Amino acid sequence: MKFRPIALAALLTLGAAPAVHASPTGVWRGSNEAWEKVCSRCHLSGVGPELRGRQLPPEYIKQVVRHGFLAMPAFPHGAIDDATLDGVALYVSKSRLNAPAKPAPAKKL
Amino acid sequence: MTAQKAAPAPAAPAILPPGVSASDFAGAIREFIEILGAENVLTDADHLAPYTKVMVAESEDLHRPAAVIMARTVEQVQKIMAVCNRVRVPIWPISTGRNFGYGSAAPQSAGQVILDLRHMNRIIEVDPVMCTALVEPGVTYQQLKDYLVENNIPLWLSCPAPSAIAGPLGNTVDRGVGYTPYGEHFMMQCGMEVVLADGQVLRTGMGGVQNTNAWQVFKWGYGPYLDGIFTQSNYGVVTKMGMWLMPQPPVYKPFSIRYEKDEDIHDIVETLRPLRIAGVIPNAMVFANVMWEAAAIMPRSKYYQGTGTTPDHVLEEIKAKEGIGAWNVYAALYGTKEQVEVNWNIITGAIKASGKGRIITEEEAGETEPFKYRAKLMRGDMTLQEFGLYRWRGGGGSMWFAPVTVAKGSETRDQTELAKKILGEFGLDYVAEYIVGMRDMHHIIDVLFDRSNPDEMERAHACFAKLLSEFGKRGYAVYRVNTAFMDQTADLYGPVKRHVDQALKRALDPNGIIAPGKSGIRI
Repeated sequence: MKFRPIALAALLTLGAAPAVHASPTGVWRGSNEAWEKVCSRCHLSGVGPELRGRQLPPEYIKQVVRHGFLAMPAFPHGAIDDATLDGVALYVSKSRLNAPAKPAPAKKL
Repeated sequence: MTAQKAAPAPAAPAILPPGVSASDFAGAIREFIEILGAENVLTDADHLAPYTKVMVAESEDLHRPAAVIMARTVEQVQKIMAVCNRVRVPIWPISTGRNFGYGSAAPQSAGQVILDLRHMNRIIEVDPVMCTALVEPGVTYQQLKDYLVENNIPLWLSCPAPSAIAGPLGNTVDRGVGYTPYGEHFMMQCGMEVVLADGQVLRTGMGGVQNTNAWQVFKWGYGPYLDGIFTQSNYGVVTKMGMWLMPQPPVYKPFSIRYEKDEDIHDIVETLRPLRIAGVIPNAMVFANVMWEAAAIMPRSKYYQGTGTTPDHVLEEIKAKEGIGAWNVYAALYGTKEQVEVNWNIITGAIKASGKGRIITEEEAGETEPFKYRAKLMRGDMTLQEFGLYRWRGGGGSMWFAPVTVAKGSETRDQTELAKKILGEFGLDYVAEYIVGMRDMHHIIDVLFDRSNPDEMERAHACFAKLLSEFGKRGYAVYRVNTAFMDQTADLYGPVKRHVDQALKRALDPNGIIAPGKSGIRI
């Protein structure tokens, strides 16, 4: 039996998000999903440095994501496309520390 | 994907495949563009940069790819094979390319073309009745988890740590492990599709039988069992993989057992091995040492500002102030309320009888780390918390030294002492856990170093070589290794094994185009 992925409603769109897809298809629904499911797992848990509220330039953020930096892994275009990364970088750059974007609570089966 | 006539000429590569002329390689690149489209053939420095970052203790120049090509279909992979055979271009296939500490995405040797299968990421089938899945190489654990959740399919994954960005196919064909009762991933793999160097497409197990519906339920098929030769090897490109998934149990009970002394590792193994072999503890439990635990919650600079090996008195201070044991067991029970209760009584009885070890339940641990992320791992949930290891000393250097250990107390004590001594000689730390298999244990040591410090990188390289050779002298060998030490490791398994590996390579890939050097195998 084969299940068809159910497209969920678009979440809050951050920056220049690409077309909306259900992530079980392997394409980010938007920049917010990439942030929540990858970046935030380290950068909101204290594993990686706090990025919010620092007004980091988007170009700098993108450079670090593509090239990696010390313990920070490098992410190729196959893992995150330019449009999604643009959105993540913009979001991080404009974020404020007192208004954290918390990751969605884990869904229970 | 169609060829794009107006595509700009690709940038000249900084490095060529060994023995291939610039004009021949340019011709191969043109053919790749015809097969894949220009957007899937990467030769410029910006696009190659992410594939060049490594954590191993040697220069990235030794692992620099000549190009990256991205396929989306089996037919494209077949066509790529034809070009590679003709022009003698070696390709290094990656699935999600997140093999950090084992070489990341970069090839074993410079000048190979990375075949990135990240876009080949269809979840082809999930069967909730038979509890199986069939996936492509680019599918991540996160993607598969989302699929299960969004379709309300009550099946659990087993993932390595960190799980979210890696994928089941790549992890399984490198014989990685996880932490659930399905933690021995290759044991839970069932059926593969493999593109061979000559372009043929092999389906293993039941997969070759016309109209079969048993590809994902019966591993062995008929005749020689072949799946194993496509793991940790370079005999083909795995383009589909079947796997078994675990039904969500009605009750899940993760727990920890804290031990205070380093030498307790002996009694931990002796107490818990019988429970693991008998299936009372069903999952791939772990025994994590103080530094592994501490790394999940803080950098070592919180307690120690030095650059060499963390002194024992500092570790004692960390244990006392952070409430971390010298060894910390993480295991879980799965089943009905009655099953869990029976096994819980057996376990608590065994710990009590052993006279040491303090049991910590999920209720006691609450939301604290590292219990929380361990509990996630043991039910196959997504986390990246274990990247905390890379923060322990900082500097982005990591190589997993992972000798196989017989699950006997005396052997774990000997291996632990030996590893700690050798790491200490080089000013490095013994950051370790044992992952408990069916009879073996994987003794996982993260050799962490500051890769931005040339002296420390050199020491880490020398340390790793010595770990391999000194363990080897005592009959211990690693189950998997990074791209810098594949030949040294292959030697530990003996000349006959190397000869047979090579004979298979020559038979299946006579031009040696697939991942030369993987596991020390070349034509």
